[in-house]
Amino acid sequence: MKKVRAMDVTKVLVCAVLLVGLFTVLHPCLHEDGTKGMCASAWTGTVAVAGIAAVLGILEMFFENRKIRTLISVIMLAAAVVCFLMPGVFFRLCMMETMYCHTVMKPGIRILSVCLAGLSLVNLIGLMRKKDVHRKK
Amino acid sequence: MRHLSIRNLTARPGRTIALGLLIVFLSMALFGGSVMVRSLNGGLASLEARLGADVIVVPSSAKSSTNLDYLFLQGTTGYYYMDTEKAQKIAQTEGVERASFQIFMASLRASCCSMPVQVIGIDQDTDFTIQPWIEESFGRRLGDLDVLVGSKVNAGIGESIRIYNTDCPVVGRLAATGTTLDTGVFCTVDTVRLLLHAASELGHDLKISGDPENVVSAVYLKVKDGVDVQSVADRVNVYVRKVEAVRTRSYITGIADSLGGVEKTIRTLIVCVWILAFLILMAAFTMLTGERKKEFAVLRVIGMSRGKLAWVLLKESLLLSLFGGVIGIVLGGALTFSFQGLIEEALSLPFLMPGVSELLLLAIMTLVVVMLVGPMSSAVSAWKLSRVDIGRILREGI
Repeated sequence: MKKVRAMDVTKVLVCAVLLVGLFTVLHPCLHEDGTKGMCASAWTGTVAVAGIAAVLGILEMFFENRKIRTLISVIMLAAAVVCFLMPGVFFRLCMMETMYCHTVMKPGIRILSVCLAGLSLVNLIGLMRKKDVHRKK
Repeated sequence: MRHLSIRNLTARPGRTIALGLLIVFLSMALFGGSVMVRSLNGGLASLEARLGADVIVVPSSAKSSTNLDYLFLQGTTGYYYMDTEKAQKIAQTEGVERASFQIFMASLRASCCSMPVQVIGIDQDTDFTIQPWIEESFGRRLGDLDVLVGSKVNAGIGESIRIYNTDCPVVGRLAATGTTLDTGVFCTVDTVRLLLHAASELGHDLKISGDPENVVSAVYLKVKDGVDVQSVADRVNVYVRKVEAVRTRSYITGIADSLGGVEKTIRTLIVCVWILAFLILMAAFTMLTGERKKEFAVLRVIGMSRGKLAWVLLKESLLLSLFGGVIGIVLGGALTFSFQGLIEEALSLPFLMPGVSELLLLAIMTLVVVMLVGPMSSAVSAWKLSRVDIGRILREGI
């Protein structure tokens, strides 16, 4: 039976929490007339990147090949960094710092991105160390 | 033997993580709570420094259109107007040393912010309340249509803010005050009057009775030394019709009282968390020492002294406290910083984060406290351990 790795499951869970969060509490600012604020672009970008990261995370669970797993981990790490930079750096948020995108959406995305980046980095280091052990043998 | 404590910790990751998490939670509570208390105090001090006026006079209609408590508590303005004649009469009141007026207006939805921004027009020749603060960040006079933005309006210098179809160039950003003035846009009285015209041309009813050229929103008074501030406020209320003169000091005292209550609650919660966590840590160390009696007895048999054995246990708790403390401070800091806007909104009180040096000092103090409490909670176990009867433990297997 295929071994289920706790790290892979945790990464997928963080991606899932980020995606669910984006469609629930981490939404962009909404105007009274129902239209979205200028922070909506950052939100859309984050949804796209978090979605890609989630798909990659699920795929990683089915691969045993170390090279492919390393590649997926590197892409997930990059995706986490992109998610972190999406609100405020790649896309501008609404200009008033008291608005929802600044007080809830940005910090929420950033905290989950840091978690995902940390997990991907630990996973990557683990895979690299395995490589070294194999070489020494 | 030198790295025995580290090996003990790494050999049982489950136990180490459980104890470490408790310490992480402790230091997070202490650091986060301390930063919040300091931020509330900083906000009040900043508000006090910004309110250079002894008396603020607003039209009586302001009482119905805005909450006066909130006006003084957060520096939030509204939009209400009175004739300039009244402002001149107020300025001539006996006992007044300096007087300056301001005009407020709220934009509908400025291009920048997707929500109404508060525009505050100041008279640069007479202003003594906002000017000193502006001078900290912007050393020259404002021109027509030039605007300065509060620290929480993310418009850079050189960009423009579009208010009622009028592009206003941003010429400077102001230092944070921890009040809602941070979300304001500041300009000259003439600029506000231009914007009022622009608004009326667009058909917006700003509820101005009379000529926009001839209105002010609030008059700020500085009372002469030795003159009773309350008597000046009373005189204005008696001699000038349809205005409300309020002493700022009484509001500051009120805020300080309510802040004291919040501060007391936070401090009590921190103390409760610490007492509880200290007891849990002590119980955990006692239980773990009880489980490890055999291990310690073997160490005694191979020649480790009682003192060294106690030191191994103390070193374990010291290492746990160090790592747990650092992680807790980082997490507490990250959460407090990330969600400071949300905390500020929930508290509805002036909130100004301390500077880097003060934050570092708070972090060091938290780490010191954590590194004292951790070993203290294991000290009893270490002392008991040094008194155990090795023969009995090894013989009876307990």
